[in-house]
Amino acid sequence: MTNIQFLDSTKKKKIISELEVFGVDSIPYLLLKFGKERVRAYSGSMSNKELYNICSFLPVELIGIYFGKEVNGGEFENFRLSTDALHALQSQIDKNIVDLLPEQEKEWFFGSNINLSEEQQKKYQDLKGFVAMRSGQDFLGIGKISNDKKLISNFLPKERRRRKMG
Amino acid sequence: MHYKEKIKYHPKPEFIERMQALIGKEDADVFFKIAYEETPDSIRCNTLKISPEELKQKLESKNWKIHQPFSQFPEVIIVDSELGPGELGNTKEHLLGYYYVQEISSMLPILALQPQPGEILLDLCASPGSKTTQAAAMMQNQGTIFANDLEMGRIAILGANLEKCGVMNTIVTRKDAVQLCKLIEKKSNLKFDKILVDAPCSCEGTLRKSPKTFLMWNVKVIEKFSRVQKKIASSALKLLKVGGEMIYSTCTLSPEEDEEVVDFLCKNFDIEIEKIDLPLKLRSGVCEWGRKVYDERIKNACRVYPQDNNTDGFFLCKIKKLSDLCRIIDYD
Repeated sequence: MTNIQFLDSTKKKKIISELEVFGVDSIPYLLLKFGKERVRAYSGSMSNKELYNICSFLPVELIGIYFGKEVNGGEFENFRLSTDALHALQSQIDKNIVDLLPEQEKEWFFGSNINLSEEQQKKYQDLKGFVAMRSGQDFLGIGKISNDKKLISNFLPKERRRRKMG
Repeated sequence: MHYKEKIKYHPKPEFIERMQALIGKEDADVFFKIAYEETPDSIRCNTLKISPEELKQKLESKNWKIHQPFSQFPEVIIVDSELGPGELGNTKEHLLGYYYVQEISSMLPILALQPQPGEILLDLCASPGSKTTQAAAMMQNQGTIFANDLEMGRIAILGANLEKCGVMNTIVTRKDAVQLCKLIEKKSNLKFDKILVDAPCSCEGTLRKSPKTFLMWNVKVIEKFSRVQKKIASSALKLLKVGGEMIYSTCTLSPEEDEEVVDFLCKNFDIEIEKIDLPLKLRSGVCEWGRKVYDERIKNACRVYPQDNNTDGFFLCKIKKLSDLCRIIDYD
């Protein structure tokens, strides 16, 4: 049987509280875990009970999308949203956003960390931890701003990075 | 593959004879000639993330020339600009999952099936996920899709494509298609509103992108696939709700893998073959092949020839289940 674990409302509330920094106040999906860290989100019509039952007799590999990950081992003390979860929740996201310049956007897609300009450092001096990266209207993924506000660490997964063309 | 590379591959005489028997000499000549030409670049807007209009604006702002060939399906887009190698899969819009690179003929099964929000869909041979992601977009991430494939490597590709397209209503399973159906039938009361059986096949329709198929082509392979396809399609049909619809499709044109499989279903199930209305040139299913005569209703199935619409070749058939009558006890 596939080892599936559904997050109850208390754990879901904790994740929402972690994401309040982005302006997120609800997660309209069923949250579940297959392993210890990774949380997945399912938007479909099956209930917890139905999914449990399905996992009891079918070789289920995945349900829904990768939503995010607990980091630093804390019980949602720090929760890193995935790029796709950022897209799914983008209508709610209105805080903790870093707008990239066109050159920085190019660097972002190559997987590089982003050096912020002095002007950006001033603009984003109140931000901390995980930030939503945006270029124009497009949310590009999640980064982490350094304590001195000079650098953003890039968490774009390798398979989402632009290939250097020969 | 470059044209100079492609012309190294030639159809076997028996393949030529069969195509001539199927569509006549003149048309078969055109079929084999176009096999050496590239298909146009086509993409499908992923409406889970962006509207076709917004995507169109973004692509046009890159100076791409594009057009939407079907007014009722604005998500289908053809890129007319000549792009560099790999460029279509390396844009910001592609990396963000705003569009999926998909050949037009591969979009047809889901356009014909029209899955709706809230429905339960089974996609039995789902990887790499072109049609699963298309179905999820039509279903607006509601209802549930069971997407199955056999090999771990193919499941990984399927999973990556589902993630990139933001598909959240899917349960991915890994099992042999026939065994999965048996398991569902035995262990649950689960029945599906819609089923897609895009069956593994001899790929005669995809010569334009993989001319190596010329080398691998042989009648024994076709016969082997036909047996497997009958098992998969009949196992799936048992799981369809009465009144539900199933698409049986392949990217091949050999009647043994297409009409003969549907004929087998007609003989063993209480079904109706529905007409398919799609905005491109479709030819009717064949009702005679060699010494075999198939059920007359199969003329409602569709054959898509590469030379008719400048696409790959494809076969699709829409089946409606009328009752739970089934004459097969166990196919094995």
